[in-house]
Amino acid sequence: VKKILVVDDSLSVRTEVAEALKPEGFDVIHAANAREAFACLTQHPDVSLVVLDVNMPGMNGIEALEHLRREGVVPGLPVVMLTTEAERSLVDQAKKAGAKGWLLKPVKPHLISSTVIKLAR
Amino acid sequence: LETEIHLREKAKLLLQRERELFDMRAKHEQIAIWLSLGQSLPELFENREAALADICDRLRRMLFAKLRMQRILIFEIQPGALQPLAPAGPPRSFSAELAALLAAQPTGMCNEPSEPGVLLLAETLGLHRFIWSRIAPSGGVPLLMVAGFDQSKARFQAPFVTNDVAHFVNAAQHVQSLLANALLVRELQQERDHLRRTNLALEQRDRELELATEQLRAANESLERRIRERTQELAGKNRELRLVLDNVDQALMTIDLEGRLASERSSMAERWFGPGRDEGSFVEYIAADARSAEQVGIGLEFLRDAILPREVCLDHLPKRLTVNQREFECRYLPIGEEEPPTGLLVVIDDVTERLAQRQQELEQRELLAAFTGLTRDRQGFLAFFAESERMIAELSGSDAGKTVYKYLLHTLKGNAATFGLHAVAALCHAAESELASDGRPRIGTMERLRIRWNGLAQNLQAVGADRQNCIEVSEADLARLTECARTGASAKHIISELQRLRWELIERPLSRLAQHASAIAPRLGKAELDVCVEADEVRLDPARWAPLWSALIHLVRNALDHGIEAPEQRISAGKSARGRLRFAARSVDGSLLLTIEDDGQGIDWDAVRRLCQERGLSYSGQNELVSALISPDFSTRRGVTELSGRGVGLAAVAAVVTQLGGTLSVDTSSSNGTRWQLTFPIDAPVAAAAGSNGLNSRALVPFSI
Repeated sequence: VKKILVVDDSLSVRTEVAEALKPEGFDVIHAANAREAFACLTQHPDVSLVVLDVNMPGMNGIEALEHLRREGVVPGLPVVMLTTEAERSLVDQAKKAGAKGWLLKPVKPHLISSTVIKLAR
Repeated sequence: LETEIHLREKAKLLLQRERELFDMRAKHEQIAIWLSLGQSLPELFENREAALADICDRLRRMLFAKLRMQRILIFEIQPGALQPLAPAGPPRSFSAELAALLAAQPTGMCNEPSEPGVLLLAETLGLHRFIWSRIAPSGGVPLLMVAGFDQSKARFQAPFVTNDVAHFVNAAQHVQSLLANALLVRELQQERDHLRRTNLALEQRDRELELATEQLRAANESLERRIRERTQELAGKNRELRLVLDNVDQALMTIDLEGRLASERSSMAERWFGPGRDEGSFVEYIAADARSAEQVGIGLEFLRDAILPREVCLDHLPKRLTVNQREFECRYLPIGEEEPPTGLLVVIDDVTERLAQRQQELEQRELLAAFTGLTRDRQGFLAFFAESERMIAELSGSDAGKTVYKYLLHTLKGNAATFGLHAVAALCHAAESELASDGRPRIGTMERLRIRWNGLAQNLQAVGADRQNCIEVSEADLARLTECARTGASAKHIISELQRLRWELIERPLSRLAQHASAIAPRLGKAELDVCVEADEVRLDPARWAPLWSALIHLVRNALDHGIEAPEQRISAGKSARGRLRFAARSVDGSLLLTIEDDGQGIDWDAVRRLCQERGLSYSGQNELVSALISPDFSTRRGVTELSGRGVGLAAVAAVVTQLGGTLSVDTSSSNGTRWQLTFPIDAPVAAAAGSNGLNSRALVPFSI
């Protein structure tokens, strides 16, 4: 069973993403911010993909991604960003930091599941 | 004697003459034989097809018939061997010495073999007295022709003389020329046959070529015919396609993944967006605004990268477009099954009318909701309306700051939604989003809000709803008043009771809040919700208390959005799946005690602490944390919904509580939920507003935990 980490400060968004992935047979774990996400990844190095919210209090999603890459936490782990709007500068920054993709809110369950199915390692 | 001598001499002479004559005759006979042989030889070669061995055999027979010889032998001279041709027999060895002899003496005779070379030849041939001649016809194999006798017969034969050799050689040379001729003729014949065959083959090839040419020509004709047919078919299809493109009421165009336009477009595209040019930029053509152009760029980039599923890439492309005050809806269909697709078919619909119609329907539903609200709860609705009107006037003022704007929009949105005025709520939400992203709402949005509100107000005025000089009196109120009069209550008391009829029972606004909670709960995934209202019979001046009910909507929304968990989460926390929300109003010793409590997950004080830390606020004590919690712009959530999350709710509540001279306290835990307690002096005068809007007054709010 592939394990997916969903990082978003909103419980309802985390729940929606989890609801979209569970029927596809994924095991979903949650984190409400970057700090929790780092702890989660240390505890679960077998995570197959991370869905990472961009706008979070504290360290934002892209900073968190850059930190993950810099610290070499789970190298090669696919990361998909999540925002209400994809801005050019953020997209470029995220791509540079190695983000695999970009999903838009509100969460559309079939798009979440097809992306994770395609990109989870 | 003399005569006798003379006669003897004469006889001697005669004998001599006789002998000479005999010799002459023999010689003549021999010459005749060779001559006849020479004349007969050509017969041997009349049959041109005859093999060399046959010719040699016949030559040998002829020589036998003509010459009086014991043996006639014909060999083929091969390297190292003499192969008998006539008569046939095993090959005989042919040494280098013999080869040298024949090279030096191609013709010769032997009457008594004595020299070593000739002796060897005699032994090889098995002859004692013989003549030989080597025949080397040009273009053929060399032959050796031999005639003679073996030792036993040679004794009875006259030795060969030079003439014999000459005749034999002559015959041999004759044979040699005839053989050469035959060979030449045969060669010519072969050459001619070869030529004839070649000619035949060429003719055959020629016929085949002609046939192939004919077939090619036929194939070419059929191909040309098919091309003509296909071209016509294609032209027909093109006409049909053009007909579709000319008549479809959508703008259709194809673009590549670099965002360049292809040449064919529907007529509607040209009508809406102009003629355009091939290979031109799609975003320039449709006059997309900067944001849409960026979305197109990002969506196409994701498609080119071919990492994400294509439907996710398409989701990034703009779905709406506003050009020349027309609203367009865009859809994108990828072309080709492979990844990435070769391009996109862009389908654009003009939805201006549809949107206008939808807006109209929304407005009609809103009007209906307004009338329903008015009928159900006249006082409550009119208080709300007056309060909203005031806020809209304030929003129209140009001097309002961002925080005030935010507060007003948020409160107005909440109030409007409570009474089912969803068009107004949606406009407030749009303005809030614009305020958040651009620093102020767009003028167009505010204008639409004002127009919408005026429309509602006009409609309500038309039915006389704005007349405030009507008072609803319930059966119970009437019965009580009648009872007062009947039992002889003082005039002062009756007047006071009559005055109070202008006021509304507190149960009314609390029920409105409860109704609102039940209405929005499903939208937040909290469908399982029990809401209860417990109220003492307290009447309040609706005009004075209206701002409180507006502000409490934020508290309700907070309770639903952040407090009460989703059903699964509640079950795993050991709670019942159904959430509970309770409103209570009690009158205790001249004070009004208002309680709003939920059984959700409580306030996340750690999150509040973290936010304080991030924002540089002091957070050492619980009081400071609560103070931070109710300050403007403070929200522990970033997921902004239409319902809550803008960080203005609690601040608004605090401001109004202060205004009404009340106090605020909160009691919260993750297992029991959150309980807000508001205490007001009922008969106290309204507290003077701190500042112009009360938003800076949080420090004045006394609270206890």
